[in-house]
Amino acid sequence: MPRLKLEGLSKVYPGGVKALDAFTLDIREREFIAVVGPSGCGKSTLLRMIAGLDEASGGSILLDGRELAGLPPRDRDIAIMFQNYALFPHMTVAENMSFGLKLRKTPRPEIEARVAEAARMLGIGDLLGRFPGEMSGGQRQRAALGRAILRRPKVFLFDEPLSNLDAKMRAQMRVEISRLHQTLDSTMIFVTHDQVEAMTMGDRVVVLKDGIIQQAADPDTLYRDPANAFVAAFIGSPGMNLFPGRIAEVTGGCAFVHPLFTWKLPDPVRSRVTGYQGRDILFGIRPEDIGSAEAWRLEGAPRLKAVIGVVERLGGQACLYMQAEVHEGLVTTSGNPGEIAFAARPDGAAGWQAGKALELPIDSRKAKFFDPASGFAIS
Amino acid sequence: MPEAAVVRRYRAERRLLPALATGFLLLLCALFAFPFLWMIMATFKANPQIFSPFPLLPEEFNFRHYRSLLLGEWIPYPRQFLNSLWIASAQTALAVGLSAAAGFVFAKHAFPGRRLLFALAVLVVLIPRQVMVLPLFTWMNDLKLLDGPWSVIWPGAVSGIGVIYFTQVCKRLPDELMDMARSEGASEYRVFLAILPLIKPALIAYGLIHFITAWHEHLIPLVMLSSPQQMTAGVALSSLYGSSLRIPYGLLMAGSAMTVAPTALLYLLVQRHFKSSLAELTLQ
Repeated sequence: MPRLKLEGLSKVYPGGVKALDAFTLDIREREFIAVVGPSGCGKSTLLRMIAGLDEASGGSILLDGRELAGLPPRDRDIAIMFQNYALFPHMTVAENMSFGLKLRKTPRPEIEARVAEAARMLGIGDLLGRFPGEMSGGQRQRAALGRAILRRPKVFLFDEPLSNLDAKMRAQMRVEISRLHQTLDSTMIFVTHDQVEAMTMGDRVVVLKDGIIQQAADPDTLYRDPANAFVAAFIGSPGMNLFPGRIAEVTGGCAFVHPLFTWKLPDPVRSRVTGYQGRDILFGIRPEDIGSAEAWRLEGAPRLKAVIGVVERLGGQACLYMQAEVHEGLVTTSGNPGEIAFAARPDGAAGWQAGKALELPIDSRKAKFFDPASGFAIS
Repeated sequence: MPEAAVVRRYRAERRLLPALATGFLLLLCALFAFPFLWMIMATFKANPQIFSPFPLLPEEFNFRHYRSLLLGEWIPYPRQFLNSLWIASAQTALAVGLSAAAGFVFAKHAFPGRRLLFALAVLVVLIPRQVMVLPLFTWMNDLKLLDGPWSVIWPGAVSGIGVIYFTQVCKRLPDELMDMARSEGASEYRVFLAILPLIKPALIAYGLIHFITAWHEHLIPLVMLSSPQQMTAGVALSSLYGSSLRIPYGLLMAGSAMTVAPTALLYLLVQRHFKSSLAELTLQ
C-alpha cells in the first residue's frame, strides 16, 4: 500500500481557473518526490491541498488508507515548510520549534528532549535561544526544518523552501535536506520551480504544467526519455533543442528535413516515424549531443552550420548559444527574426568566441522525435 | 578661499538649525503646557485668586481642595473615580478584543456577506453618537442595566473604527505564518491567539486611544447613569458647575487634575510602544 495516494485531485478556483486537474500519484513510504514546474502550474496548490490548507474541488487524498479530504490541517499528521520559513518573530528558535508540540500538550521533558535532538541533527544547538531576526536565512531554514522534524509527521511538505537562500546556501541545504530524508526515513514532497533542486533531490520527479502531470519519473529517465516536448525543453539547462521539420522521401530512403540540416534516417528510426511520412515533426537533441566527441566520431552525422551568439563559460566546458538565419534555402548568419536559435555544449572549451561561425555534428543516435501537435514523444 | 567659506557656513548652519528648532519646540511646549500648569496652580488657590492671572504661583501649596474631594465632601469622588476606571478599563478590554477578533476575520477569512458586514462596520463610524443615544437608552432599559456600569460599557465595547483599523492591521499579517500554525495543530481560535503578539503595537495603540476616549466619554454616562454613586468622575465634576451659586473652582480644578492623571500616566507608560510599529512584521 502506498503511503500517500492522490487520486484525481483537482482544484478549480471560483472564476473557473483550473489550478490542478485530475492529479493522480501513488507515493511510496520513504519516497522523496520533487514536483517541478513553471510558476502558476499548480504545484503550491497541490501541497496546500495535501496539508489541508486549501480544500480540493475533487478527488481524494489517502494517507495510509485514511481519507484526508475534509479533515482540518491539525488532524492530518503532515508538516509543511514554507519559502519564508514562517517563524514567529517574537519567539526564540526553541519556542518556535516546540510550537506544535505545545499545542498538542506534549509533556515538557519530552518537548525538551526532542528539541535537543532535532537541534543536534541540524547543528543549531547554540541558536536555540535566538530570535529569528537575529539569524541568517540558512539558520532560519534550519529552525523551520527543526520544527517540522519535532512533530515526527508521516509526510513532510516543502513549498519552495530554498528560494530565498543564496546559491551557496541553497546547495548546502539541498544536501542537508537529502541527508535528513535518509536519516528520518520519511516521505517527503518537495515543490520547486528550480529543476536542479528537483533533479538532485527527488527519487522521483513530477513535472507539472497547467495543473496537469506531464511526466512522473526518476531523474535519469526524465532526462533521457522525456514523455513530451514540454518536459524535454523544461528539464536540463538549457533544455533540449527542438527543431521543427518534416519527414520526407529522399533517394534510397527517408530523411528528416530541416532548413539547417538533413538527416537520412537509419532503418530502426525510420520504422518509428513511418506514420509521419510527409508530415511535420519535432526533432529533439540535447545541447551536449551537439559537437560532442561521439558526434565527431559518428559517421554521416548531420551537421549544423551556425554562428556563436553568446558563450557561457562553465569552467572546463562552455555552453554556446548559436544562431542561424534561413533565407530561401540559403543559410546566412545574422541575428534577425526568422533566425533559428539553439544551444550546444561541444566538448573542449578552447577558442569559442561570439561571432565565430561553426559547423557542429549532431550525435543523431541520441535524437528524439515529438509530435508537433500533441507534443508527445514518438517511440 | 571660497571653499573654506562654504565649510564655515555649513558648520554655522549645522549649529544654528537645531538651536532654532529647539527654540520653536520649546515655545510650542509652553503654549500647550500653560493650561495644565494653570489648572494645577488653581487647585491650590481660592476663587478670587484663580481669576487674577498673576501671580501664577499660589501663595501657599494648600491641599484643602484635594482633601475635600477625596473625603467626598461635595461629591463621592473616590467612588466615581473608581467607576470611571472600571468602565474605561472593561470597555477598552472588550473593544480591543472584539475589534481585533473581528478585524482578523474580516482580513483573513472569506465568508458570504463579508463585504456587507464590513460596510455596516464603516456605517457605524458615520453615525453620530447623539443619534444612537436614545435607542441605546431604551435597550439598556430593557436589559435592566440602567444606572449601572454595564450600561456605559456595552455601547462602547464594539467600535467601527476599531474593526476597520484591525482589518487593515491584520491584512498585513503573513498568511504563511497562519498556515504554519494551522498545520502545526492550531485551531482557528488558537491561530488568532498566536498572531496577537505580532500586532502588539497596534493593540497597545488602539487600546490607549480607546481608553482615553472611554475615560472622557460624557454623553453616554450622562444619559445612562443617574445616581451619584454610579456616576463617572468626568460627568460628576461637570455637575458641580450648577451645584451652587458659589462654584468651587479650586475643587473643580483639583478634580480635573486628578481625572487627567490616569490618561497621562498611561500614555507615559506605553509611549515607547508607539515607536515600534508593524514594520517588525516584515522583518523576517
